[in-house]
Amino acid sequence: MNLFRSEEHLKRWLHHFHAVNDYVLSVGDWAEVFGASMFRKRLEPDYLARAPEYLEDYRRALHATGKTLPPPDRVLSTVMFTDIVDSTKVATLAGDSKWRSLLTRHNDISRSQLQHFGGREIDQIGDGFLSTFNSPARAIRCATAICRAMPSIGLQVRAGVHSGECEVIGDGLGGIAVHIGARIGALAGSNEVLVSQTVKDAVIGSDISFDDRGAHDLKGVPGQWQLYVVVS
Amino acid sequence: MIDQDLTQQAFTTILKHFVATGRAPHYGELANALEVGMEEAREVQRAAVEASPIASCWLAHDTDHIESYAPFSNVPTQYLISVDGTRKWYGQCGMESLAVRWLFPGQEVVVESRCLDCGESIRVRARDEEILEIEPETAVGYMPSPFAASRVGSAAFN
Repeated sequence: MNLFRSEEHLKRWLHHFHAVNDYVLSVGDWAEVFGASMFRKRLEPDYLARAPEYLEDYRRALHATGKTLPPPDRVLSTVMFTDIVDSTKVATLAGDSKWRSLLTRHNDISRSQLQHFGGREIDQIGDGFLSTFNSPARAIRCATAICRAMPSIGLQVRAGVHSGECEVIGDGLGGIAVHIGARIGALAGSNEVLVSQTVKDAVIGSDISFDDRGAHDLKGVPGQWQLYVVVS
Repeated sequence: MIDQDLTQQAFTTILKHFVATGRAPHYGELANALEVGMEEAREVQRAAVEASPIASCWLAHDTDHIESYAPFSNVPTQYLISVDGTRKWYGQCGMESLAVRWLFPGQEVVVESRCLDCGESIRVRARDEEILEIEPETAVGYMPSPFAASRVGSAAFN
């Protein structure tokens, strides 16, 4: 939630994926929206009890402004898939209650790293996340941070990163680039971040290095795909 | 199970502490203010954070330290807040900074920030309902929809 000196400045900055219904308003209009009871009544002694009602006020105030971004058809984006390795086995060993707690911690860690590296959570798929970034290097760093953090709670994660044009479908994302990212992620080993040639080429000049993992068939995707594992 | 009244008290106490000092209380300070033990204070702090609407409050990763508590941030952000000439607070984000004024009734609140595109300054001056100055007048704010399905319950959209 950022401020810009004008809409022109915003347009220059906003070259990456945005979701349908993202809001762009003058600061004066925002000041009005943020005058809704949800923000005005935070010190009221029954604030939390009335939060659902205040939230509805806020939703109405936002919708009343009516100024949202138009839906782009296709956007260039970097997709990152993460997934817990051997989740069924770990869940069975842990038992339902502990597994739920582990999943909560896994989600907290993942979301915290997404926030830190400027990623956007698109969907939770199985025991992992589909997220997007406007920078492949940040996606790699985020995936690496998530893989490094998970052993501290007894989990192993695999991750795949790919950059390409994606279709914007409501708040979600689709298209072949998303499928490719998912296939790459599925080929990664425990605590590994696997990336496509596209991603490797895009981060030339960064301090990220890779080992070649050879050419692979990705189920349902034409051609052979050269994949690389992130080593630092 | 944390009592809802105690959660509400913790929520308000944390916010008032921000208003008074410019920072979040440690849960030890919260324990003292609420007259509860340290462990109960940690639990009620978590409950207060989790009870905040649209995930607008959160703890620093893997800690019991408040990182952000709308409309304030406990870590430096580019949203510098002054009240009646004293600069002591950080806004959680550009829009929440515009809601800080409700916590300082009758006082002049100034939000100073930088354009993410060019780095030039943006300044908003307000008192209660009244927006006294927006510099430049063309300034806009961009916010991903907080009600998008993928964002509800996640701090990430902030």
